[in-house]
Amino acid sequence: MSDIIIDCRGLSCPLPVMRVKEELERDQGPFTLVVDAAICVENISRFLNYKGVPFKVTAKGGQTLIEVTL
Amino acid sequence: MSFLRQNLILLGGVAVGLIGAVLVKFGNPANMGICFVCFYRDMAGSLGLHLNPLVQYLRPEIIGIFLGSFLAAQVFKDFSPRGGSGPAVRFLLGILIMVGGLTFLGCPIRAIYRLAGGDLSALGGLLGIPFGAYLGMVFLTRGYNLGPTRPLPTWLAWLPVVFFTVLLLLLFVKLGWYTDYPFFSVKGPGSQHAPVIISLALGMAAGVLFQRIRLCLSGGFRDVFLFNDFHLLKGFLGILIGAFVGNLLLGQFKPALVGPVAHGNFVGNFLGMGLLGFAAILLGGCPMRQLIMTWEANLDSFMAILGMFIGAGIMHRLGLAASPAGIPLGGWVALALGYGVAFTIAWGFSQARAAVREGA
Repeated sequence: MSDIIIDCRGLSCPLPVMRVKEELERDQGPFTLVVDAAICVENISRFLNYKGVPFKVTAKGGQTLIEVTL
Repeated sequence: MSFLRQNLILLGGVAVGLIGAVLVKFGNPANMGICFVCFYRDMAGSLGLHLNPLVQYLRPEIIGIFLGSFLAAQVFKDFSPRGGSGPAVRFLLGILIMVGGLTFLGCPIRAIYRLAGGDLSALGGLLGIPFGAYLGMVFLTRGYNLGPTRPLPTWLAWLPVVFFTVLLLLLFVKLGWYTDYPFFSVKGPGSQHAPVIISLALGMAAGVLFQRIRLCLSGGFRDVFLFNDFHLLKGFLGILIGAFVGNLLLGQFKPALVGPVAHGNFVGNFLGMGLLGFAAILLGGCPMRQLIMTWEANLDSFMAILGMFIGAGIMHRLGLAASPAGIPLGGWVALALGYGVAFTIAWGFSQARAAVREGA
C-alpha cells in the first residue's frame, strides 16, 4: 500500500471524486483511497477510467480500498 | 455487451420515461407521471401539513419507489445506516428545494416529462438547473462540506421504513374505510391519479431502476462542470426519449407554449429550478436521489425529505406556491429569501476544511 492515504469515508457525493482529482493534480505518486459507499466506488472508478489512470479495487470489510498505482 | 453496460443508465432512463407516460395514461395529472416535488406536496397536504384542497393525495408511487429501492438496496447490500452530516442544515436545504420546486411546479424529472409532453415552458426550468448546479459547484470547489457522516446503530435505519409504512397503512385505511383523514382531493391535480395498485407497482419498478442506475440530474450537471463527465446526464436523455416516445404512442404529446399544471413565467421557472439545483448540489443530490439514499438508510437524506414535506406545507399554508395562474408576490419574496439562505449556508460551510489527507 502506498504512503499517501486519503480517507473519504462518510463524505457525501461528489467530494470523494474531487479529492481524487486534487491528488492527481498534486502529482505526488501512488495513493490509496478509503471509501465506504458503493456509489463513491462507482464514481471514482468512472473518473479514473476516464482519466486513463490505472487502479486496483479491493473490498475489505465494510469499506473499499482504491489503490491508484500511476 | 460493453455497449449495454456503458449505456445501462440510458436504457434505465428510457424505462423511467415510459413508466411516466403510462402513469399519465392511467390517470395521473398531465406530464406528472412521477414528480418528486409535486408528490411530496400532495402527501404533505394529505397529512394535513397544508390545507389546499386541490393538492392532497398520498401518492402511492412514492411509497412504491420506497419499497422498490429499499428492496434493491437490501438485495445489493447498499444498506448501511449512517448520518450526522449537518442534519439540521439538510432539513433547511430540503425546505429550499420545495421553495424552488413549487415556484417552477416540478422537480428535474417533471421538467423533462413536461418537455417530453410538449410543454415549452419547461425550458426555463431546465436551463435553471445548470445555473443552480453551477452556483453549488463554485462553493464545492471552495471547500464546501457539511462534514462526514458516521455509521449509526442499526435500529435507527428502520426509522424511515416505519415512517413510510405508516403512510402505506394510512393509504389502506382511507381506501378501506373512506375515512376523512388522510385528506384526498376531490378536484384538482390531487384528485387525478392512476389506480392505486398500478401506481404502487410502477413506482416499485421505478424505485429499483433509480436505485440501480444511480440517476441524478443535478449530479449530472455537476459532473459535467467538474470533470467534463456526461455519464449521469445520459440517464436524463433516456427519460426524455422514453417519455417522448411513450407520449406520442399514447396520444399525449400536445405542443404548447405553456402546458397543463404549469405557468409560463420564464424568469420564475429559471430562478425556481436554479434554487432547487443549488440546494440539491449543497445536499449532494436532487429530490429523487435524496429519497433513494433514504432507503439506503442515510438518515441525513431522510432529514432532507422531512424538510421537503414541511417546505411544501409552508409554501401552501402561506399561499406562496405558484399555480397555473402564475407566481404570487409572496412567492417571489420566498424565492429571494431562499437564495439568501442558500448562499449563507454555502458560504458558511466553505470556511472550514477538514484535513483528510495523511502521509507524505
